[in-house]
Parts: sequence; C-alpha cells; structure tokens
Amino acid sequence: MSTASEPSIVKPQTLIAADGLGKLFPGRSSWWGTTSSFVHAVQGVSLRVRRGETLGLVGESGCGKSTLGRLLLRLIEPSFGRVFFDGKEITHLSEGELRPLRRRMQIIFQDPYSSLNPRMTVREIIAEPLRIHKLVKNANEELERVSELLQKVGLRPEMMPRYPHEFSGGQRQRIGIARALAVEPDFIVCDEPISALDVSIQAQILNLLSDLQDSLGLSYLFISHDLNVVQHFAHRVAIMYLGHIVEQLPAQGMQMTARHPYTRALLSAVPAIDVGKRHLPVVLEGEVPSPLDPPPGCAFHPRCVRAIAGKCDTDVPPFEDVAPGHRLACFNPAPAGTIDLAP
Amino acid sequence: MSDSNPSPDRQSVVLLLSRKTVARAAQLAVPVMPYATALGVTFAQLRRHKLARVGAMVVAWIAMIGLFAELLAGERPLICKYDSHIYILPALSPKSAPFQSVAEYEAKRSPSDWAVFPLVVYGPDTEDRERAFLPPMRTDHVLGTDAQGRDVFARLVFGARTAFTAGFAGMIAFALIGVALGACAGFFGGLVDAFVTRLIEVLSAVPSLVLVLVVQALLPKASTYTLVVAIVLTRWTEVARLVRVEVFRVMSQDYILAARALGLSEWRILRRHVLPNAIAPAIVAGTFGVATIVLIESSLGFLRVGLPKDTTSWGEMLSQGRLSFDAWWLMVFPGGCVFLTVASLNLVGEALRDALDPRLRDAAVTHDHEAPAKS
Repeated sequence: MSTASEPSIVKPQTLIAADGLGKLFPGRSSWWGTTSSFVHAVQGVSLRVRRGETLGLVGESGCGKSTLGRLLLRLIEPSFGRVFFDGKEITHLSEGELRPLRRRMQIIFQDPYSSLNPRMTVREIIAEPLRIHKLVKNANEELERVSELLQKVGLRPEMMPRYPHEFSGGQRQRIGIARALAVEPDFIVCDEPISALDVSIQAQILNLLSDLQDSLGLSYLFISHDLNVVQHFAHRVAIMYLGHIVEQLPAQGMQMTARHPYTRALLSAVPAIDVGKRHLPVVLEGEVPSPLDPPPGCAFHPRCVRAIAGKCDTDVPPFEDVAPGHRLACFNPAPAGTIDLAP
Repeated sequence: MSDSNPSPDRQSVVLLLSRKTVARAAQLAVPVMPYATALGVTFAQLRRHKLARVGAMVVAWIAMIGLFAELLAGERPLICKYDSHIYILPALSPKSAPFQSVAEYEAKRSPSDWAVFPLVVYGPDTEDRERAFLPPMRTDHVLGTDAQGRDVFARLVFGARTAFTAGFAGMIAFALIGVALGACAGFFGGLVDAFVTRLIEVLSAVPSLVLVLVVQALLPKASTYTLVVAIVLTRWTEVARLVRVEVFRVMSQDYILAARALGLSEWRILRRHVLPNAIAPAIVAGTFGVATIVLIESSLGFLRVGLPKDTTSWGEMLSQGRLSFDAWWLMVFPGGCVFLTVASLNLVGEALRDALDPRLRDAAVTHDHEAPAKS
C-alpha cells in the first residue's frame, strides 16, 4: 500500500485523497492571447475521504467547492498537486487509463434540470453507463438492471420510457442518482444535490443518500453551502474559503469544537429554531475578495476579527492538527466553546 | 425468456406498453418506443399551428408537382399501345418512346393503337412561334403561352422541379456542412474554433447574391448545380454559427459532465449528447434556407444571368412578362408560384422555430408534482 511516493495522507482506510491540489483558471487575457491573470479557484488543498464516510465540504458560492469536487474526479485537470484513488495516484493517468476508474467514482449535480439529457429516455440514460462498461450481457439483463436501479432510488420501473421533462425536480435528482449508481461506484461527489429542491424533498433525497451509503458502503464528498444540513449528514466537515480549506473537524459537536473565526462566523449564521437560545450572529465585514487577486497571507485576514497585523496579512497559516481529527489553518484561533452565548 | 411469458418483475413495465412490445424490444435490443419523444412534442406543436400546416401542405404539393413533372406535362404518353407493344411510361425516357409528340402519334397510329397522355400535352421546351402569347383558357394551353409559344403550365411544372431541386439539394448540403463545422468548432474549441469562426466571418461578409452572380458569370459551363454549389458556399455559415453557439450552450450542461464522469468517449458524447440537443436551429435555418435558394434561383432566372438558356425557371418566365405587360399571365402565374413557395416555407420555418424554442416548449409541458417515493 505504501510506497515512497505516497504522502502520509494516503492511509489504508483512505479511498480518495488530494495532496496540495490546486487549479488556476485563465482569467483576463491580453489581446494577443497570453493570459495575464489567473483565477485562483483551488489553492493547494489536501484532504481525504475514508471508505464509507461522508466528508462535508462547506463554503460560500465561488470559493472553489465544486472545482475541488471535479478535480478529485479528474473532470478538470489540476494545475498542481496530486490525486490518489484507492492508494494509486491518478493525477496523470490518460483518459483511457482512467476509464476503469471512472466506474468507481461518480458525481451527482445540483441542478436536476441540466443534469439529464432531455433527448434520452430514463431507460437510455441509466442503460448507457451499463453498456459502456459492459456491466450487462444482453437487453433482458439491461432491462432488469435498470428497473432494479429505479426501484433502488424510489422510482417505479414503468417510468422507464419517459423523458426527463415529464418528471419533477426531486424525481429527476433520483434519476441522476440512479445513473451514478449504475456503475456501482465506491465514491460519489454530491455537488450540492439538494440545494435546488424544496425542503420536503431535500429531506427525502438526504434519506435516500444515507440509505444508499448504509446498504452499498458508499463514500461521499458532500458539497453544500448549508452548514446546518452538512452538520447532520456528514461524518467530518471541511470548511473552504477562497480556494483554501481553513478547518476540518468531526461534524459531531462542531458547534463546540470549531475554532477558525470563519467557521465560527458560519456557525453563528445558522438560524436557530429555539427562540430562547437566540444569539447575535458574528457579522462578517466586507465581501469575499476576488479569486483573481487573492489577498496575501491568510486569505481570510481582511475580514477576520481576530487577525493579527503583521502576521496574518503576510504569512500563510499552515494547515495543522490541533486535536485528533481536527485540522486548522489559523495563527490566532478562537478558544473552543459554544458560539451562541454571545451577549 | 419467450415472448408469451415475461418474468413477473417485468409485469410492471408492461403497464404502458403491450407485453409483447417490451419483450420483443428487449430481445432485439431495440429501445422501447417512447410514447412522447421530444420530436413528438415538436410535431404536436407544429400541428397546432394552422398557418404552418397550410404552408407545409402547399410546399409538399409544389414539391410533388416538381417531382412528377413528366406525368403532368409532356408530349410523350404515360402509357400507350403502339405497333402491338404496350409501352409503360415512355414519358420518362425519350429513347424508349415509339414517338416523340402527339403530332407524330396522330400521323403514325393505326386504329388499334391507343395512348394516355399527360394532363397537358406540351413539354416545357415545345416551341410554336405561331401560337405565341396565347391568353389562358382560350385554347388547350390552359394557362396560355409565352413569347416562343411554349406552354405556361408545362413551364411552371418544370420550373417547380428546378426550384425545389436547387432548394432541397442546397439545403441538405449547407445544413450538413454547417452542422459538421459548427459542431466541431463548438466541441473542440481552441484552434479549430478559431479557424472555423474566421472562415464564417470572412464568408458572411460576402453577399450571397453577388457571389453567386460572379461565380455563375465566370464559370464557362454554369448550370443549376454550380448555382447550388455557389449558394451552399455562402449559406452554410449561418447554420454553422447557430450550431456552434448551441453546442457551447449544451457543453455547459451538467449532463455532459456526467457523461464524461461515466467514461464515455468524446465521439459518443458528441453524437449522443451534444448533437441531438444542438441541431434544432439548423432545422429552422434549413427551412428558411430552402426559401432563400428558391428566391435566388428565381432572381438569377429573372436577370437571365448565369443559368443555361434551356433551364426552365420561374424567374425566366417572369422576365418574359416584363417584356410584354399585356401578357399578364406571364407574370401572375410564375410570380404566384414564387410567392406561394417562399411564403409557405417561411410559415413552416417560423412555426418550427417556435416549436423548437425551449422557452416556449417548456411552457407547454406540464411538470407533475413529486410522486410519492418509496411506498
């Protein structure tokens, strides 16, 4: 399992790992076509997802969550860093070498309206991966497999000949999940799978994902901007800000253990239902800086109440273990403790 | 598994389709015929559009008239008995015909011979200088004759053939070129896109009619085919432009990313996922393109530029009408044909555009509510 080239991040129970992964998108270009600036979408992120585990990835829009998910699946090429899947580096595999691995990692999308080809029937959508990866021998087997998959995601097999436009958002999301499950993956990137759905349907989809994890032993990277959902759905949570992961900690009790000022600001913004426990949210000043021109030092320092002048604005804080299973990138973290006891 | 005995877990599928259909489709690896295809929705919309329906019928009729021109006008019979032989459709081939005109038949026939002639017994090029400028409905020239004494009806019928051959051949050619180049530009991007885009820009700057005029005037043997080629060379750019943009739109959709994540080959993604969703504007542009080609062909005929002298064209008839205003039938009939054809094609094109517009179509499609999940 371990060779010299593998960093300490790859451990036996690790299914997929990123090591210093980064992506620069060309930004503005001068008129003769040379790129003069880059969008720093993901900047040297290291993380790992264990087998059968859900890692929640939380951050504001535009912080690079989706890009990170796509980098892990090699759907976009990383600018630097490495990706490991099942103990094997896949960063530089060709598309042909990657094909057998494509089966083992899948993605489900936020927008159920653009994630299904409108010109294909549900049956064709789900059968296509089965055929490509030769998972079925003949048409009878294919029909049985598709109908089994539909039942697995809570749809009726007689929906097979229908087209996507005949379904609701939640049903479409289920079809997308069935398509991903068709190739029997080990790892699924859930790219905000419930953000576009009604609240009641959000719960249904979450329950479905959770049931599937239990029965199939799936690992998820669950991308969301809803910390509340992630706290309850994920085993561990990674907080992302402007292309960096600033804190990574167990989801259980993170209200108490979170220490990064940004994480605490996010937690304090989660609406509380219990009126008696009302607290003042930590209000972040200003806007997220442009990823075209990220600030020096800690990316969060221009908006951070705990920033130390001369330190946070010049040095990049290292991403270090502060407790078992808890990693943090901050020079001046808040003490652990409840957040909602603000005056 | 036999046709008559599908397994119990297949029962549920059978609700919408007959048991046999599903079982057979499964055996033959043929996708089960959908009951509401996207194309079906489009045609349902098209059918509701009354004017477009009329337009489509007019176009179909004129196209059929052009296709079966020999059966409607010509000097050789459709079927005849001559010299104890039965000849079938000598109208189609001069060589196999025992005689070449009605006059010859009348002169040579024996009492036992018979012949069934087309509706009008004059070909488009049958000249009779003594019977020039006959008005309609006076003689057996139902729609009159022109300056050379040629039958107007016969010339209209063969003019339809010229117009529609040029129109449809041209449309198919420029649609194919446009879809291929536009799809490549959008799909591969980069240098391919830069090259195709520059090509489109350069060619779009040349006015179609002017280019066609120049090409036809310079070619030593200009014909309807060179005319079509010249039109195709300028018209494909519009299709390519539309398809390229549409491919860009489709490429940004999540189902393309899903297809990549599933490990589909680039070719399969282009063929199965990109093209079916990106050719709608090409269909619309193609319909309008037929109308444009018919117009250009008539214009050239009218100007008497670049088409061989013996080409039967509505435009050429119109130009005769210009020479003698008294002969109104030389303007009204071919003019009416051009107008009807172009207007009908435009009606169909506009209805197609409406039917294929996803914003309008989505409004027509009802989304049912989330069905109860696991029960």
